[in-house]
Amino acid sequence: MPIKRLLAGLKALLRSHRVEQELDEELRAYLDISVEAKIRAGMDRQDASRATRVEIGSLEAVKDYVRDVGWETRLEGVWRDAGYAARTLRNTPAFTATAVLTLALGIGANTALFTIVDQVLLRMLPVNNPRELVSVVSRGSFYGDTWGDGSELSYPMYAELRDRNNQVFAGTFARLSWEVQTRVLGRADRVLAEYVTGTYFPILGVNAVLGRTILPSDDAARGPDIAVLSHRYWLSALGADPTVVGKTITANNHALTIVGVGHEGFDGTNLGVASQIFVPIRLVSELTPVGAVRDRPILDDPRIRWAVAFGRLRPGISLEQAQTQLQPVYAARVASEVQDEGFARASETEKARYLRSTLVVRPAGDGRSSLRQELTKPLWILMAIVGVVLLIASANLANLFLARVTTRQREFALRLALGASRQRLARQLLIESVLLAIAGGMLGLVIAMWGAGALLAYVPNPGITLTVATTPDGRIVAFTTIIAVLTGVAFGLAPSLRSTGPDVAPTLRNEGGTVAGGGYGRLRRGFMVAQVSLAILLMVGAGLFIRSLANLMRTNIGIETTRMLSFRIDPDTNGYAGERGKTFIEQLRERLAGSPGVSSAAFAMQPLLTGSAWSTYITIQGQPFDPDRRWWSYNNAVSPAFFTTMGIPILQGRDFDHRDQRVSPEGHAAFVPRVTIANRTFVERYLGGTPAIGTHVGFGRDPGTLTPIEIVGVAADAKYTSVRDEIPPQLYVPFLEGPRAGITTMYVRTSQDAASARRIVEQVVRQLDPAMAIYDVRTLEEQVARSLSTDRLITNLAAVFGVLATLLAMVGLYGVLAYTVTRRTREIGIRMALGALNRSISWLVLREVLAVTGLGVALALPAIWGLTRFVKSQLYGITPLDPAAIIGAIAILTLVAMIAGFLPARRAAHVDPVVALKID
Amino acid sequence: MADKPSPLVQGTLYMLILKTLALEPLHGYGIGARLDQISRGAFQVNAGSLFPALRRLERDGLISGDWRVTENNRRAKYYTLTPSGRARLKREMRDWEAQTTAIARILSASLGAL
Repeated sequence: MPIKRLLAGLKALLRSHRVEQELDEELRAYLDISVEAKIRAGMDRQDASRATRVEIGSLEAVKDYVRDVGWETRLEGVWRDAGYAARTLRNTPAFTATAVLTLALGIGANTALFTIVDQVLLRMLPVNNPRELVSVVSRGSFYGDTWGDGSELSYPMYAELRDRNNQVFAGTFARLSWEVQTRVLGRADRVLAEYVTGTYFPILGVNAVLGRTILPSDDAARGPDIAVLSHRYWLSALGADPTVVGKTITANNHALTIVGVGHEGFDGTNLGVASQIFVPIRLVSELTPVGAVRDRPILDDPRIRWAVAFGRLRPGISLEQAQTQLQPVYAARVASEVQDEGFARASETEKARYLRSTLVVRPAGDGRSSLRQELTKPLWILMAIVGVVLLIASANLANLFLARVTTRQREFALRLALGASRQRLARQLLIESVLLAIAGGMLGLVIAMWGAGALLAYVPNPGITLTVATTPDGRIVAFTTIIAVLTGVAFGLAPSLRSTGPDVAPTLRNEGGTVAGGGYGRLRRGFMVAQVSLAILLMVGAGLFIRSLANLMRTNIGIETTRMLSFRIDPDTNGYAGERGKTFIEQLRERLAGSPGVSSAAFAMQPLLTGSAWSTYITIQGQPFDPDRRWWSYNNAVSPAFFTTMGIPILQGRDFDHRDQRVSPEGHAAFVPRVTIANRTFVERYLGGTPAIGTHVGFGRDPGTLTPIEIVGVAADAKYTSVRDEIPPQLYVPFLEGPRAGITTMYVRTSQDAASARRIVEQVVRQLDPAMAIYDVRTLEEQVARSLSTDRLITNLAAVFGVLATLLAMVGLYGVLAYTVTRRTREIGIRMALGALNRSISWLVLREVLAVTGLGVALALPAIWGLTRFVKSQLYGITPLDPAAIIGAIAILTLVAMIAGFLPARRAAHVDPVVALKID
Repeated sequence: MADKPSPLVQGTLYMLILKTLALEPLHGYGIGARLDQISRGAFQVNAGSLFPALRRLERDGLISGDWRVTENNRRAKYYTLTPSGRARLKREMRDWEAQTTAIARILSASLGAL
């Protein structure tokens, strides 16, 4: 647009009132002069002014044309239309309220979910250029132990890649998350510590708001033991104490000097789950109990992987380039490792497998989030579901709008006759719909704030600070605005385009009433069919998830879950190292078991149903070595009375008792039990028909692995990692044969409610050691619920949104049918006057309902077939094409459609032909 | 006139208004009347076309309007050609002549001339 026009437009905008006045005056002069000219030509005054008016037509139209010349008037026009739209909407409060509420529900659901999706799935780490960050992981077989999900590196491997990265990285760092018990300024907390290399803060570009961060110089083997607090922890736990630098914090009984506080908003590299303190990575041996188990320092041990390695790519280096450059370094290191003593007993197959492993460079700008791994699929499924809900809401609104537009035909015809252009009318309608959508969006934002809070209750909280917030920020508001406007345009567009073209003359002569069926009928029916089929789709989804969850809840987990309280305790790193920890924990168990209201107590190294597991390869005595055989078991070290406390029957042999405890052999840090109890699955899978009792097994699968552990009993099957996972082959070993009591879970069976059981537990622990912290206190039922929280999240939301969609569809159908009956009153009256029966008139409406439902089902079936497979992994015990869910959904929707059609059908049947024919 | 007034060729209205104003400043009605008169009734420009055209020409700086008093003693907005309006008129007339000559040649072409 030329500058001149822009300026002229701006000027006109600023003095729009004067411009209008001037135009008025100019046109008046035109009229007058025209009349005068005609009088001069011989007409009398009356004829002259009439002729002039005929010539000029609508003065308003002329003004409109003139106004349209400037761009600024379009803006003004939009503003004027918005004002007019607001007035119109205010005049029809029922319509407006229905529309805004429908929209608010649809948009609110989307915004609420997006709030979670954005924070869990879409955000980047709040660090410098997060897109340059990559993580370096290994893929393939590893020989040794793993602390994480198997993608980590051993520290020596990380060091190799750090020192020889062929210039692909501007820098690297490694990290590990671990829960520790802290004491600082008189308070004790269970927090998530992040063990980091000195390069972590500088490479991320994270600074300290107070003191300093951890620096490369802190990596030195004899450096001071220090800690940096996260801003969040400093704020919430220490009240933002400005004098905190230089004070001491103990982590797992290890004194650390606080040197600084990290910058606000930075919670570590595990997005969604906040790290509270950061410590130098070399403290990993001292602060984690696992350090004590190893023969060599963890940082030097290539046979244990735990380091999560990151790199910052140099500008211009791609992921592929980095991977190509790093792969040979990795391969060389692997090749040299298999020659080491660590592989002394490994079979050739095992070496070959490790040699085949590779290195992968992945984008890591969003850090590394366990939460994300768990929730990605469920959240996208739910996002799709709420998207469909919004579509149904839009269809509803489009129909409402269409009906409204039809009843306003006369108004439009009048405005057209007065000279308004069809474009103007279409714009007017579009503005009305967008205005509605924005109002719906604003209300939706309020609903979303509340809804996101409700949603978060389902997000499985790992027991540590979850940083997902529910207050909307700029991104959320922008998202809401965009979907609101898109929705407004979507449901306003078709009616606007279709409805602004009434034939002026017949409509004004009030013959409009007879056009009701006609063109929009098809559009309306289309919307109804779409609503029905989308609602069926959501109901099928809800049905599938509900049946899955029901299956899960019916699943026999093999453990008696009622009246059971559990808590965790960590004696080994809190003053009771080695044997003293074993004595402490057994003493605690005996005291708990003897407390009033407690029937029995037991403890285990691995907590049940938390996803955590201790798994090993195993060798069975008498079975010759086979390089291709990979037998494994999930193990747990348990106390006396474990099986009776958990309600797991011993099927053969004996339970653990006083015989199964000993002082761990001197110098032996690792767990070497003498006896074990296998579960039924283990016996059936690995022992075939041979008698289980007396069979010897060993941990590991290298050739020549010793089998010193004797099976003394067989226990019934029980779930281990989660309710959903299959029961694995399991070996239980006596806890008291082990070297120490690290993080241990105590199970207390009570005859009382959870609250009083909790009081008893706290009292007993305090009597034994007032300084000992317990955490994760919860009932086993709560633990089961947590284990199913993702399933519950999907199921409940799918059900809620399925019902919402169905209700919306019902309201939509009812609205259209009721409206159609009203519009066809005269036709119905004629039919009745000609002798049609009430029944056949009702049938007229119900036939429409059936046709719409039938079409909806026909459209939904292929969609069901195509889409349900995407949720297969979320289902339990049913197939994606579960007939009950599908038939159920169709039946419900058919019923709902019939209900929606019932009232209008009855009304149609009761039309009084005499009255009907008198209308108009 | 028995025939209905013919519709203006798209875009020519601007040129005709500029030409009219090149002779003398006129108000809106005057411009319409002058066009009617010169074209002997062939072009009757109604207010709905005339005023938007005037607004656009004024916006583009080709004409400028000021309020004067008519011979019958009433106020009316008179439009005058600006220098850039004069230049534009010259250019458009040249283009127009070139075009009409070309069109005339095509229309009068006979088989022998090709």
